[in-house]
Amino acid sequence: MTDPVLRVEDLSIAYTVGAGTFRAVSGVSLDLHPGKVVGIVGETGCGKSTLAQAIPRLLPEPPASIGHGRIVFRGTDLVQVPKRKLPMIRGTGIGMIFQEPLNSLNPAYRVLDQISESIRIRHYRDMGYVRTFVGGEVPFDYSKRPTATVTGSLAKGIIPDGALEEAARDRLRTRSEFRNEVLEYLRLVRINDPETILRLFPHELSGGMRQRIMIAMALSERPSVLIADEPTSALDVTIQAQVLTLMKELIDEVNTAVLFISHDLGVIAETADEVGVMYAGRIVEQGPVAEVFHDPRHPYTKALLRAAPNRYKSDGPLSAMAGNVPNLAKLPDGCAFHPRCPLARPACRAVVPPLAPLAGTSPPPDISAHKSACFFPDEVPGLP
Amino acid sequence: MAGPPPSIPRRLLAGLGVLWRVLRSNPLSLFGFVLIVVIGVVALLVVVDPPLLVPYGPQQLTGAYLQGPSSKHWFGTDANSFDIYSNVMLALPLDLGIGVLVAGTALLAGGSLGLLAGFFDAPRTVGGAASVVILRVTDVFLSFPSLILALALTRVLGLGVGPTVLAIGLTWWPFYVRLVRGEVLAVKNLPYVVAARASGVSEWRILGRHVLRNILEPVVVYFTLDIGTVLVTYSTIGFVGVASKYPGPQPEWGAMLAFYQSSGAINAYPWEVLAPGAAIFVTVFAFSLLGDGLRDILDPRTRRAFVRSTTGHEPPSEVPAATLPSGTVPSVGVSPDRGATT
Repeated sequence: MTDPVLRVEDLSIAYTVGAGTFRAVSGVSLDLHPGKVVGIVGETGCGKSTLAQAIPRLLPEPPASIGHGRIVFRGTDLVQVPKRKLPMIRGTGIGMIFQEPLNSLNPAYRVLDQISESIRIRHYRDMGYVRTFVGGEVPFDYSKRPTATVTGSLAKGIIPDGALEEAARDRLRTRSEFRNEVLEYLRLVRINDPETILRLFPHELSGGMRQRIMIAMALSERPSVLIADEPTSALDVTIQAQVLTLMKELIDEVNTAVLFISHDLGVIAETADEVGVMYAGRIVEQGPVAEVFHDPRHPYTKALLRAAPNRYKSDGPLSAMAGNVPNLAKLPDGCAFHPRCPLARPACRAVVPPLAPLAGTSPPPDISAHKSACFFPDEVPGLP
Repeated sequence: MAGPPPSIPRRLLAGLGVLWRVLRSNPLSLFGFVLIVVIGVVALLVVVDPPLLVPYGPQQLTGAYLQGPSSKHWFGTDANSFDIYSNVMLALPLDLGIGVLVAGTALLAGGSLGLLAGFFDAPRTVGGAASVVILRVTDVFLSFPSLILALALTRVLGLGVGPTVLAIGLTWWPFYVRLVRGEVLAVKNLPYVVAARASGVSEWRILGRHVLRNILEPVVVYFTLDIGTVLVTYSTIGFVGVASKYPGPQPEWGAMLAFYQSSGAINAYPWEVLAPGAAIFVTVFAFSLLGDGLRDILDPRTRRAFVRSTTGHEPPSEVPAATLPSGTVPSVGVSPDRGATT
């Protein structure tokens, strides 16, 4: 059991819109370990993307505000960093990949300039030109940060030993040195003929290509945590498969911790080691991905799995879940799922069930035990 | 392309080459550019060395009364025997200068305010409060038709060229606040801005490199078209007779039009009115064409498309799938979707 690179503890986020306040994320806890992928799955509006953007403190505050909880990254609680100091902690180890490959790249710049911007920032930081954040329980020493290391068989041959290390740490790099590093990252994301791609504008690239560039950009910060917010949702199925394969290989090679957000159960099953199922801002079930998907212990997970179209069976209508996602501004009392739940009882309407570990589970190292936020987890397998 | 990156002069030359190809691909905007350059050079020559292009003084009696265009008097003469061509030419630097100065100042002042109001508009912050103030003041100015407001201001500021320019300038900037703010709002929450922020790019650098660069195209195009509008507005105010006096030591197109039109002899001596009118038309037209050309150049999408269509040269982007090394993940073949995607 290693220490997590990033730990989210009991995080709650609320939006204030007009006079109303609604909680988009309530009491979410997560541990991210190097080389492990934590998937978050849920319907639209369940707080997935809010969670993804809150971790690197990218949410616009206001209207969003972090009510309570901690986001501990390398000994610093990111929640406590004052707003004006946020730029100092960005680009220091949390990389992001976004959903829309069309809009995630600046249309005015060539691929070279897109990727070299983040490399430049990292370089200037290494050179001490950018002020870094000092504070938190453990003073944040940027020079001693643990950088992600490139290992694995695929990295051999693609990136020569030490090529990703700066040629010299004591002088400013030249344009061609930046360019060479950009080329390394393009090769890392398996782009053929990177010399050519370097000179193209985003609109000249296909969706899958853009997403590769986006991944290269995120990796060029050398993040120890990578947050992928629906990275494949906008791609068609074949490209999606390619990008997913690439991401899986890169996660092994680069050994980062990954938070993978998706609404697609198949994608999560394919990619993640651990999964958290979100409903109305809460994680309702969490655990090793195989266990959660094969033996769900929360009625919502069960319903979600049942609603996923099965590609082998075409008899009968598609099953849709009864009811709607609740309005976050007026959540029902007790368990947010109880109006749609076949197991609902008076207790469910009164008290919010805690996310409790199930008896008799022994998770693999660095992965959360199977937990369910249901009072009657043992009755779930009996549901249709 | 494996060698060292090209040196700065070579990059500049390459840039100029692209500029030339884009311009050549669209004859109209090329014509606009040439026209602007010619107008600019002529205006400069008139200021530096008037005798070179202007045969007579603004109020010089030529002895020829109400003559039509001839080789001696290109645009004819008027009832005072003044040479109309000389007066039109002498008015060029003033009118051009006013157009560029007023629109340029409005662009810088209104544009910066709009940029700040759009970018730092989070509620309950200093920037948010400032942006509310900026926008309400802008609304006050925008609620008046700018021509009426400018005319009213000239009553306060006084007659003459200087006060009129000031009056137009004071009414002109609010358009840019609205325009730029709107564009900033559309761009500032796009994923690439958030991505830049996530990778540690400072807010000011995001504003310049990611936001400003991507709103430049509509704003610059509007600016070039606007130079023509300023010119017309100034000429209108000149026409009403509060800006410049004509005939006088410093002629101005609007005032010339007003003067000759009021003489009531358009049918008999049409050249008197046609000459300054055509001067206004040609200048405004040139700036409109320039605006179109600039749009093509500033947008990488149209830029590439134009270069391709003129040179028949595909930017190198097709990667043959056969070059894939076996055993690796099949790379997404670069299949550029070049259609206008937005």
